Amino acid sequence: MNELDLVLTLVEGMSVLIVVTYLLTRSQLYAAIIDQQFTLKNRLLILLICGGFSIYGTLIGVPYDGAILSVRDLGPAFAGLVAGPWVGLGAGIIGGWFRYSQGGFMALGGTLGPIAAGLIWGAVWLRRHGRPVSLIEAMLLAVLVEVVRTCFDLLFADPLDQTLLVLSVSVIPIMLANAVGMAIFVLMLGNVQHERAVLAAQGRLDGELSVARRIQQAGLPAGPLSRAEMQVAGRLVPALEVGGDFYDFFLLGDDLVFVTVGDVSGKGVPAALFMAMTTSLIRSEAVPEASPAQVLARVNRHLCRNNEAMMFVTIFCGVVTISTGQITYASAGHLPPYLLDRAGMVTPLVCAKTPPLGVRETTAFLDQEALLPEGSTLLLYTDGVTEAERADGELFSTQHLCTVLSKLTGRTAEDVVSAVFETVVTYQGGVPQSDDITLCAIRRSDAGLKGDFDEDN
Amino acid sequence: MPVLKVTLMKITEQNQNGCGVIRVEGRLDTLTAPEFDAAGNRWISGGRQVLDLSALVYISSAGLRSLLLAQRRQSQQGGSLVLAAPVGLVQEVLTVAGFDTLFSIYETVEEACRGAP
Repeated sequence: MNELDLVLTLVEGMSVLIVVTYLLTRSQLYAAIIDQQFTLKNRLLILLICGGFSIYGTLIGVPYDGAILSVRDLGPAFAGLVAGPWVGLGAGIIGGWFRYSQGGFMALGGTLGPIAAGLIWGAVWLRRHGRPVSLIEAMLLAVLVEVVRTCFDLLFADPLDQTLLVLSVSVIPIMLANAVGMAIFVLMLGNVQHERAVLAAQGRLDGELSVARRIQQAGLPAGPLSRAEMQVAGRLVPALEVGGDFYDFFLLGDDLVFVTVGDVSGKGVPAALFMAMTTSLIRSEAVPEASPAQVLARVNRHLCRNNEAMMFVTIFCGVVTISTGQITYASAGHLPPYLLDRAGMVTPLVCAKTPPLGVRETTAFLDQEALLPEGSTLLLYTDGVTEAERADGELFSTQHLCTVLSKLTGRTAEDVVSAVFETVVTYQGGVPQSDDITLCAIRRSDAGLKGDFDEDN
Repeated sequence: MPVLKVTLMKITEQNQNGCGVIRVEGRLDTLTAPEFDAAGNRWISGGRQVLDLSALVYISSAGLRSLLLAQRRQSQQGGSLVLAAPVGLVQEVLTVAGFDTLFSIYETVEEACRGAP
């Protein structure tokens, strides 16, 4: 048997160990070890498994002239590497004891080898505190372990000439096989550690996104606005964890309510950040003295500054006088809201064509006026509603929205929002929502109908 | 291993009698916008460029943003970008979003090339 054959035979036997080690790195046990959970049970398990590796190494060893050439030092080395010197020593004793029981003239060196391997790699573990070992280091250490074992063989050599003969043939191949084995072990460990780091980062990101989602939802109105003469309700369901749509309504003094719905270009985190910026600007600019067009102009100037990414936001905003139903509104490239009257007629609010916010600092916005008659509902929405997609690619469309809306006369603002939303969800079937869906309804009570005035009585 | 690739958007550049025409087919949305932006490296130049939208069936807000980006890149080079022949939903979206005040939009590619209204 030449030296190359010997290396190949040793590596061949080692492949079983490598497969088992790979399975081991996928186990709960290994995850616990990486997380530094060195319970007695975990240590014992590693000790026994690696001791078993060492025994297996002897069993598949190549008998040579009364000696057994093998990779029995690998198991204890691995034990030392992952769980420290005590576990390494334990596995080494098991492997060494088994080799000793097999007898032969080089048994003593073969017994001390695994023990030395476990201790040396355990020392590495102590010094490293869990930091990974590089491939080169792993191979050099494997060679060092074999040098130490060879020294034992020479120390206890009897007879010396036969020992020298065996060593002259086996030293290099065994060193090579051990170096290859340790390199593969270290590579597998590195992969597992990298994979776990990636998973942990992913988990962190998911956690942060769900916090962002909660923050975003918390920024929306807490519940419907409910007055005897008027109610406002809204709903926003983002397509991703966070979205670029928004709606808002709040009182400006006693008789005025500011209402807005908007849609930031794009999706996900960038859109969400731009949306957060826009809604804070709106809240600080929406004062009773400012008309909707003035609010939009001011917010637009802020958004246009340093807008390198060319993000933009379409907005509809209006100020409604609660007692009279008069609405002053302005739109920045947003879809015109629909007005549903008492008779079930649906008409779009006439909106001047103006570009979205964030595009051009000099854009002029126009204040427009309309009256919300008694018993009517104004529905503000984003294109996530009308462009909701069915499995066959058909879009929900504005026509469909009008039809659905026309059947909702006399319903509360909350009811209208829920009913339209449910219809859109049903329309989509199982198709995942591709865009944020936002609805906001303003309902003026019907003085002629009993019930609407209940709160006043 | 064969990779299943669905073509959602196609961009072709051509020169029609000295007029640079970029034809965009399919959908311009979150998925395809990055490809559209990258393709700009090929055609964005100092001159007047016409974006032929006649075969564009869908444009989302991400697509609109890409149009604005392309327009800005064009004007930074001293050139201009005009839109031609939007149809259906795309035309509707451009109008509703007020993009007709940001871009010159022509009914046909020929008119866009002539620069006539």
